[in-house]
Amino acid sequence: MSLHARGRRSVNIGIVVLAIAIAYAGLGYPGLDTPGPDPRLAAIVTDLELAGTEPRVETKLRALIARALDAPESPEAWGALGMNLDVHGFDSEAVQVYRGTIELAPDEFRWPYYLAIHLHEGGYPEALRWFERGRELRRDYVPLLIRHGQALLDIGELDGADSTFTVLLEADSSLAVAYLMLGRSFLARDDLEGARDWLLGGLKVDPQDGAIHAMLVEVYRQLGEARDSELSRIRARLYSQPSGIDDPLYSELMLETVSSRGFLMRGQAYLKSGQPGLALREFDAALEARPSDPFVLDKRGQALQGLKRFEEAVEHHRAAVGLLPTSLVPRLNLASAHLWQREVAEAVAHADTARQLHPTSAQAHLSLGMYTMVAGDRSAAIDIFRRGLDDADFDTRIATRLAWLLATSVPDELRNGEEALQLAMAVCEIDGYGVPETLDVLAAAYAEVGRFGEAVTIASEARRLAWVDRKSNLVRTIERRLGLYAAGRPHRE
Amino acid sequence: MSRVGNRRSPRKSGLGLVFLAGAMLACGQDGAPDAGAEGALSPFTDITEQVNLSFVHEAAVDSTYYMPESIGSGGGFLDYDDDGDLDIYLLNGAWRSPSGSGVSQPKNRLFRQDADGSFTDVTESSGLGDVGYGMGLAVGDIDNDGDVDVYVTNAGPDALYRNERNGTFREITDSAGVDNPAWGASAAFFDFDLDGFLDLYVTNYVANDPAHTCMDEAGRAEYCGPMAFPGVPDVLYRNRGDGTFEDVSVASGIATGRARGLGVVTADFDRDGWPDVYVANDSDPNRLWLNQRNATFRDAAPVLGAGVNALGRPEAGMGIAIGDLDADRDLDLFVTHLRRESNTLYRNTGKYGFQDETSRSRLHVPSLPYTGFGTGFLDFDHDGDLDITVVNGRVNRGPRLRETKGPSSWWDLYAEPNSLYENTGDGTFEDVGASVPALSEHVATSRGLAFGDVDNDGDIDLLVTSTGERARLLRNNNETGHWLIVKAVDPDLKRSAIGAEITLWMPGATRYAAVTSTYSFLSANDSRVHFGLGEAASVDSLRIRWPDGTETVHQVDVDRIVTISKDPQVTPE
Repeated sequence: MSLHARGRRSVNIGIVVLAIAIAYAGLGYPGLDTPGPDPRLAAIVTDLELAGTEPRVETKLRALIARALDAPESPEAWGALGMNLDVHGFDSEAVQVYRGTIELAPDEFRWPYYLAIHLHEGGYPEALRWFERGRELRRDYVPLLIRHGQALLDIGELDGADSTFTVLLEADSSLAVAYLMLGRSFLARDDLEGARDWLLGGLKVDPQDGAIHAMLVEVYRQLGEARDSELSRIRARLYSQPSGIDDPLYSELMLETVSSRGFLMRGQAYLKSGQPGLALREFDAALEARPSDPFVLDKRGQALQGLKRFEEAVEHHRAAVGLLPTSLVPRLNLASAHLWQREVAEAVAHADTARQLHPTSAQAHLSLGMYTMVAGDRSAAIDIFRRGLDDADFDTRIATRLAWLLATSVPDELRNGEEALQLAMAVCEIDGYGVPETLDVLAAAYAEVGRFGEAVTIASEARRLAWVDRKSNLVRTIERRLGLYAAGRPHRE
Repeated sequence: MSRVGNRRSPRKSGLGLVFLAGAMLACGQDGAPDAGAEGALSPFTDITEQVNLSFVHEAAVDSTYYMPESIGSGGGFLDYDDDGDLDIYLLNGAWRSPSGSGVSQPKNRLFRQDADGSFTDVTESSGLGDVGYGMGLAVGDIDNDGDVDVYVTNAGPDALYRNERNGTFREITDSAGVDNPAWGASAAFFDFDLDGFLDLYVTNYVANDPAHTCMDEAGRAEYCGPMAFPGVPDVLYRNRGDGTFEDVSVASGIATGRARGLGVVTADFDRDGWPDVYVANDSDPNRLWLNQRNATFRDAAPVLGAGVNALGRPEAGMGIAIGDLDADRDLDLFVTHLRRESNTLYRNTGKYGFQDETSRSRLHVPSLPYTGFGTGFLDFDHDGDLDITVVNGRVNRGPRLRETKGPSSWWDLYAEPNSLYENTGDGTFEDVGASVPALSEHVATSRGLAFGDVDNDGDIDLLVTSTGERARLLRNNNETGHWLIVKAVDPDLKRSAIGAEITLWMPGATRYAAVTSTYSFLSANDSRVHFGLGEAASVDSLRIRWPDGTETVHQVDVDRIVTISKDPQVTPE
């Protein structure tokens, strides 16, 4: 058996003795009439094994432990410690400290809430008890109701879950996640039509909720509606993210982390929300602890791209690729950075390597095709996109671009109106004829096959949707093409 | 030839002597019958020590968090000497830099079962001491010479050992052409082209780069998860029948995509007479490769609902159980997953494909806190329905669930108790693992779980492998209910009829099972088919559909181990 002697760098044992002495002097521990953390808590947190943790984490936790031991009756001090134990992965200790904090501040909402989330994520049914306590304290906190309903669903308490989500929808009918959960509940009851109806209701609120599309795959499949199931599968791939929940209290919890992993996750969140400057700050902090982590280097490169610092971005992505030469994402990010640097040949070369390494990656085919187009080789781009549709799962982005090339390219030998029309129709069916950019492609395909009346109708709808979406450049572009179609001429470029 | 063992066979008597002696000498220790709270005999007893199964897995932890340490190793049952009782082969880890360290390289170990039920380590004389970082085991007779050969997957080149029929094995990896250089996980022998020779499917996991390290929430070094590295295509080797194999991964279509494969089972899921393959992938959708009857396969998991759970999400697939859970004469699937996911039960509904019935079966919540690996359906109590066993153990540190005496172990924060889900008979399951001390009290980082009737007493015993710890043999103590064990043999091929299907008719009920030795996780199992029959003291008939499509019908008595050859005669031993 491999034994691993773990070094312990315990906080000064004198603090333990002092804490226990204080506790038994009646300063707020159980059994001494006043509520408060169990004296064992002091020992637990003092003995916390911090070996191997990053310096920032260790420093912060030691400071919080000292603060809590200095103020044993302070729910703020113990709660802050609990939060930091939680986000830094000290699961058992976090649970115990949260419980102790709840004893100190039984009417404070956030502590049972955090405890419930922690237990629920760990798969422990005890989470329900703390969600219920949270509801007693704050009935109107929507994220709590959502999480509680999810926990009820997990244990098969379908009626309780239904009533929770119904209450939510009565208060706010724009909560896509409530529709999703009601769909899940009805699916669990074998009520496939009911599940479908709830899920479709959710899509009216958020047509791009990836979780709803993913669940519809199974619902449609069981209903025997194979085509809808397949369309949902494609949509689920296209819209991978579920609707988020705005949970300020949980965000506060997440902001506590000071580990490189925490910085990395926060930075990614900032990137997603289009804040590369804030993301860069987080990635810098992550790199302090892990200067040669390829994921952090790659993400920092992305943030630099967002800030248009492309030369530095290339350096970061190149370093990441050097560390993970077979990985897809850093390679494609490097290609992208090269493109922004106007180094098209390098961009094409790296995208080509990515495609060779990951021949079933739609993203690799898409990037290579797009960069090849930028390089001016439409014919090669058409071949790449066609191969992408053959080798990877059907990808609407590839199909859209291929359809456009087949419908609009100047050289006669590159155009294939029927193929373009077929592809454009497939894409529009997937996105429900509701995306102006793809309707624009469909209109071009109709024009290429000589069906100018339909081209005008579709282009008009595309213009209307673009106007609704406030995409003024697109509106102007479509109007120019509309003039061509009305005159019986296809668009060429 | 057919052999039939009685309920109290000589083998059982032999083991009983060892067992009794152990109990008298060390009551309450390993080997003593476990009594529940009410004094009832516990379903399983740990007999590892009393049968001298002296294997301690060496994970070869060098503090660099080498990812294979978090996944392997398995092992399993095989009757390598063809003496009618099951022997045990266990895989080991390997030091990555042994030179100059003064540490000898751990080896896989072969344990022969002797006449008294105890085990003797015959590794050195057998030549099966593979020194790769061992992952999975597949057992099958590749040359149809009447003995079982051994394929070992490693985190690195795999190895094929041919049984020389004299108690020794010879490595033929290179000459056979099965040197899979990737990180292989579970593997399965099956005859996909029905030419009579067993082919080989190997799941490959990820392209691990040991230079890349991962961290936990506090910035401590931790084992990487699957998404840290790209997946690697699986491999299919076609047996040419001349001792060599041809890599047909690309030609067959199974090499498309880079999923992170871990578990595999082979069986005829669509009942067309051709064996299919189901692969559990870690964080990628699972694959159901339907045999197209022309040496190619098509992934039907998306359209048949076996790729993702009911929410449309891929999960961290590890081990697979296969069996006819609902007695409707098709094969259902149960896949084990990561902590905070649940294990998933895919019920085969026939033409409508598979349906995720995890929640309905009450299997969702009990599995959420654990990371499941080895698993299988078994009727441990012979009440006539299939129960589920899962061995658990984390891949990342978590709350301490075991108390250790003495120095702490590297694996303390990865260890979890195991689970036993008892079929309540109404389509739901109840987790009774906590009431079975042999399963619940030994909290470990368990990976492999092999099933077999090691003492030939008619019930299924368990072999559990755990990372960095002793492998454990759990004897099934069941004394109730009727049973039947069937060994289906094709005399022309001189081996178990892997891929055959057995249907059992009895008053008011039907049982259906496939002949296979590969399921669970990294494990090889007894290829004999076990049926728990409950109160049925007789069966009306037994039908075998052989891999070549022929069918035979037999009359058999229950409470027997029956060997049935393709020649439709059943002869008592």
